[in-house]
Amino acid sequence: MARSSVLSLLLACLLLAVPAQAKDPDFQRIVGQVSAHYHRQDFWGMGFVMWLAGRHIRHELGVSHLKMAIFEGRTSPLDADFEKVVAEAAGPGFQPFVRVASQASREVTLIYARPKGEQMELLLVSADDSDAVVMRMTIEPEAMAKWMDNPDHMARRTRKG
Amino acid sequence: MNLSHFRIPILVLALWAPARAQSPRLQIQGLEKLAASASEVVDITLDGATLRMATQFLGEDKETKGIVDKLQGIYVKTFEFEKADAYSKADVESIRAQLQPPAWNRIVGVQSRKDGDVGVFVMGDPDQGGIRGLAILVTGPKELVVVNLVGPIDLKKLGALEGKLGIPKIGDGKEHRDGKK
Repeated sequence: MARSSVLSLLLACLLLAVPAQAKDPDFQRIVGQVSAHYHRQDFWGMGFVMWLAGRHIRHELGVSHLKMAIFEGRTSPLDADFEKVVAEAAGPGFQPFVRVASQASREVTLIYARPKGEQMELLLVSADDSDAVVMRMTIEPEAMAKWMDNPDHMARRTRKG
Repeated sequence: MNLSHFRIPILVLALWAPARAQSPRLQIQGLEKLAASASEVVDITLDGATLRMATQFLGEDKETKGIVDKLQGIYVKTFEFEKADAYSKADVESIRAQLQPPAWNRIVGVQSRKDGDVGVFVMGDPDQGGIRGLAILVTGPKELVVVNLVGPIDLKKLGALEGKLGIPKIGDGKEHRDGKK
């Protein structure tokens, strides 16, 4: 009984988890600007999905610090305005790195990069007609070598992660 | 005053000036109109501080590091199409028009009905000698790739960059990206 209560409490915490950007004003600003254009709609279980995806990305892609926001929306990211909004939200510190736009899946993935000490920080915004993800992550040197080898493949992999 | 003495210097200047005036950075915005008909468009941009930083992450690959260290920018744009012949020669004219002598010279040209055409172009450096920039144009039936490297490049070592940093493998002239021909 006690065990199931703990599990229920843990599950509730995950489902209601406060989005990761809450304590980071800069990330919150980026997410705010992107989600306003995208007509953000939060969905039930968002906290759990973020926790699960974040765990996978950290483990698989050599990410040391990760901030993530996932939300539903109803704006096509294939219009030029979406990319302008993301570029403005990223700010002058981030430089464009990879852009993958697919008409087939109606999906756009934009990745910006900036040096952070001896590491690289990436801002990933990926969206299709129904959902979007915003991630800011610090990449470990070994993982960054994989990004250098095949940037577009890594962009797709991170989006799927 | 006899102007004939100035003919040769003027001719040399006329040939030399375009290579100095034109930037090795290609203007590829003209291709954006193809995005609507492409099934996928990929842009890779590495320049400025990001490129400097990225060089440090190339691991033990000293040959690649040696090339990238000297570059000012790496730009790759790829269009993939569902159907063959989804774009015309005129669509690529904005790129070809820039890759003209005397500023640019084609050093490799492979034409294939099946796999498309591959052209490798270099912009010489009149001041320092060597090369100021390089462009690779791949025009396949279902694919269009523009690679632009800005900065001094040792052509003998260029092969080290193939298949890295979003640059397709050129090899024997047949472009094969991500292991597929």
